[in-house]
Amino acid sequence: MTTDPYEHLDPSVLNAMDDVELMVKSVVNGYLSGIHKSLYQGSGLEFIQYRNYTQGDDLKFIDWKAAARTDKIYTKVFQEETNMDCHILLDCSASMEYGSKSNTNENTISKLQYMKIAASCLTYFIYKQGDKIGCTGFSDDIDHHIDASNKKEHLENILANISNSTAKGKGLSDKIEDFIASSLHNRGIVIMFSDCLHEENRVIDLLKLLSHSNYECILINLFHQDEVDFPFAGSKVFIDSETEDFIVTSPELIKEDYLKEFKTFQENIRSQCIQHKIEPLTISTKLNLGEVFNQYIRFRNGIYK
Amino acid sequence: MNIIFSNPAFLYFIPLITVPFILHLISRDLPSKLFFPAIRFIKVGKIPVNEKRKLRDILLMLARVLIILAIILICSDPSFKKETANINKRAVVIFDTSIAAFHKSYMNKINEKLSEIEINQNQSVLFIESSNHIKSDKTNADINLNSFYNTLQPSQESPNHYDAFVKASEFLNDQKGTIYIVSNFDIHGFEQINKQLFHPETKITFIEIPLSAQNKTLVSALATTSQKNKNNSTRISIKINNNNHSEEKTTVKIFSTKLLDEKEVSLKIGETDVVIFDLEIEAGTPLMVTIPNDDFSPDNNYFLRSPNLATIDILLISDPNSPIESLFFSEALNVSSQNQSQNMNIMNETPKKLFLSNYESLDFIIISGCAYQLNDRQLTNIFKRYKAGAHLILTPGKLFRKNLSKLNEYGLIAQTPIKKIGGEYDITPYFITNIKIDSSWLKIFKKTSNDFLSIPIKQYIKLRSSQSSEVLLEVENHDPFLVINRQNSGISFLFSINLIPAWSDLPITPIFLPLLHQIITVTYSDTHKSQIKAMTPGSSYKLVENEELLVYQGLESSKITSSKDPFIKLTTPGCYYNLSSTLNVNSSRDHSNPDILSKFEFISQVKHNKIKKTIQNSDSIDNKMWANLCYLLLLLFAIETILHGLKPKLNMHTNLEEN
Repeated sequence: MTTDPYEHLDPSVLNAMDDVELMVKSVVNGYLSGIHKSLYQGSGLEFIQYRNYTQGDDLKFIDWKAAARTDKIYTKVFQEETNMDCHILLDCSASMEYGSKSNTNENTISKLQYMKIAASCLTYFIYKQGDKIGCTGFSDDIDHHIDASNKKEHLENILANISNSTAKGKGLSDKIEDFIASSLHNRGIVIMFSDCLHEENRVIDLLKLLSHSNYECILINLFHQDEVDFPFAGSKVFIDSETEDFIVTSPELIKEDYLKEFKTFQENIRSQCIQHKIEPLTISTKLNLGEVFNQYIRFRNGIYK
Repeated sequence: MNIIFSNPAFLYFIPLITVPFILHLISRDLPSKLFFPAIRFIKVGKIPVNEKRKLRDILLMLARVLIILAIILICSDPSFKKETANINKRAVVIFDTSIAAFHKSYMNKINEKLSEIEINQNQSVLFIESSNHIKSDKTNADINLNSFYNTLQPSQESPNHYDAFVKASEFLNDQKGTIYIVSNFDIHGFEQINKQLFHPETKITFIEIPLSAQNKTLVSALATTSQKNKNNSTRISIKINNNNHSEEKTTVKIFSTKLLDEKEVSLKIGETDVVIFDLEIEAGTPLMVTIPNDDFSPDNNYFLRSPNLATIDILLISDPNSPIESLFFSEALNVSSQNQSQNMNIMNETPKKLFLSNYESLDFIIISGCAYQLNDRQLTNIFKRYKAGAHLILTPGKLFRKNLSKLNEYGLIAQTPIKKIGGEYDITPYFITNIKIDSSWLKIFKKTSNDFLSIPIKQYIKLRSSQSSEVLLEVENHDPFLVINRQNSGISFLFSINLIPAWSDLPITPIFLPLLHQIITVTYSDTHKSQIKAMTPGSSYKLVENEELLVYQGLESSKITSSKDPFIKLTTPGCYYNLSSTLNVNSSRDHSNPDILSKFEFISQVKHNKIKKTIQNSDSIDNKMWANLCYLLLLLFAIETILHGLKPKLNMHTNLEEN
């Protein structure tokens, strides 16, 4: 019998939790307990714990005194000290609203809600790792901007801002790009949540710019499951959330072409990301948060190896 | 080209074509709004597909409309006929100069109606005089409407409408035209014109020459019982009216197998008189009344028959020791028999001499205060007759109690005499106060019911009612005075008094005679309704189920039976019955005018052939092909409806893949 280790990270379940702090703590702590052995371990200053010696461990980390007392060989585990700024960019454009009950008449989680949960959990997760965390939310304009810091009050501020985010406007603009580019100076990681449904390559261009500024960039390309599956039937008037352009058509007739176009779009985003050394992560609102964390950890480990 | 519908009634279904419209409007897929962010991936080039679907839906709806329309048109059987140059230039005028033309005003009325016949000079007109011998003339420079009218001669024969129609059909030759029929339509035929003989758009105008019943000389003829004597007799009452007659004198003759009687009548114009013949003939004898100067025919005959007159046989058993009571009964019955229409055969007997086997048929047995004198055998025979339908009238006698148990055994009386009471006349006489006035026996006393109050009842037998008895009269203390009881088909009437003056004054009051007469006649008529009815010509008779009717037409008789409920009309000679398919006529001889019936059959045959001929000559498509086409369309429609109506999404998807 196999069980999903990230069952408790189902976004639809987390969406029902009102207390954001409680939610992120439960998520992150639960996640961390599940991946205990993969914590960042290194030669930092802060001792964390002992563990049994295993073949291949560095001999310099063996606690010989303890070995003398107990006749067992233990290896010291230290928490790695980092000095990394991590900044989360939140795309709060109107297209992120898709999936809410008012929009689809179905009780599904919207892209915005998913982004809020994922961003909150990731913020806490990063905070727990000891890295500095900052956050910028934008829609028509910059909704909020918090510089990176690792203070607890700072964390609470970020979580509150994330929680209060609303979807509106067309998203990225020159003004927003300029602001973000001028606000981020230190070396660090930029995690951007977006559906990339902006003007052509605006998201890539922004991340490319940040990448050139010594930032390691992760693009979490977020889609609603409906956008992936296109499960509509009957005659529909499709109205663009941002531009309010509309198309009247029968979904059954256009589904095949739509899926083809959508797949091309995703591959295009991915290829551009790889080209510009941006870590792409395409997820749908159906995916649980464990995948997000794993991706982030892989990426984080990749940077420091 | 003109479109002609053989079954235009189907055109009423044309509103059905709105059904696909309504279905289309109901089932059409209204697009729902959806705010969708990834609209950029919806290819613009695919948008017209939806429009194509809409277009397809509309075409589908139109196809359904056309299919329904096609079915309606097929069922209405259209045909196309080419117009010819002279279709409006032909007319036929048919004059009915049959027996009705002998009416004195008939020809003059035809002359008055000539103005209603619209004939143009450009029209080719065929004049037809419809009598036994058809006479026709095509119009030309020498013949016009008035000149043809002047040649008309009344005929004593039936109208020959069949030949007239055939001639008209030949003249019109399947082209449009106008037909004028001038007739009194008193007899069937002209109004039953076979329209299949003519072009469907042929205009047929009926010009009626009204001959009202008031113009008939004979108003009514009625056969009733004669008052002349007590033998079987028939009184024929003939009411005649001199309307527009120049001659004041006419002779009315009555025939059976020979001339029975004749009377000369003198009537001024406008006067009405009743001629009465009293004939000694057997009941049910067919009779013929002839009135030479009748409006219609110098030999016009009316047929009727004498009613079945029967004699009421009454056996009066009276007490020889009480002659006054038997005297009251016998005198009352004799007077009643003489004054009223019913014949009564009254036979007097005394209990000692009574042998019921001497009497073959008895309608009434009156036991007048002497029941106690009858022996058991006599009573048993009386009761047998009573149960077989002879009615009893009893009055109590001195020793009424003697045969009480025997009487009660047979249910003859419903009451048990308890005791003899009653006040003395000079002290407290009783009076009849409660009268069941709605019974058929007492209806005539409605206006004079107060007369019962003037009858002092000095003494009476107190009777006790039973459930099966019916009290007609009661004295003032609610004791029954006259009760009736029924046993099988017999009815018994029991008085609580004797007819001697010591009991009451009833026999000497004016009520007694009508009361006795009512008891006898009403009871008799209720149980002996005549199955033979006298009918006058022109009257109608409604046959009840399985009834058999003998109809005398002249001296010939026809037997008509009905299986259901046909309605027949007895008509004057020269006409025929209004036959229907449910009527079976078993005639001793053929109908008085059998040619007419055979010709009608011939018309039906011609009609059938004519239709076939028309179809063969027309340009319309063969009916079988229409039917096959219709079935094919219906099949396609059903399949299409199932696929598109019940599973639209699946079908659309399938079509998409096919495309």
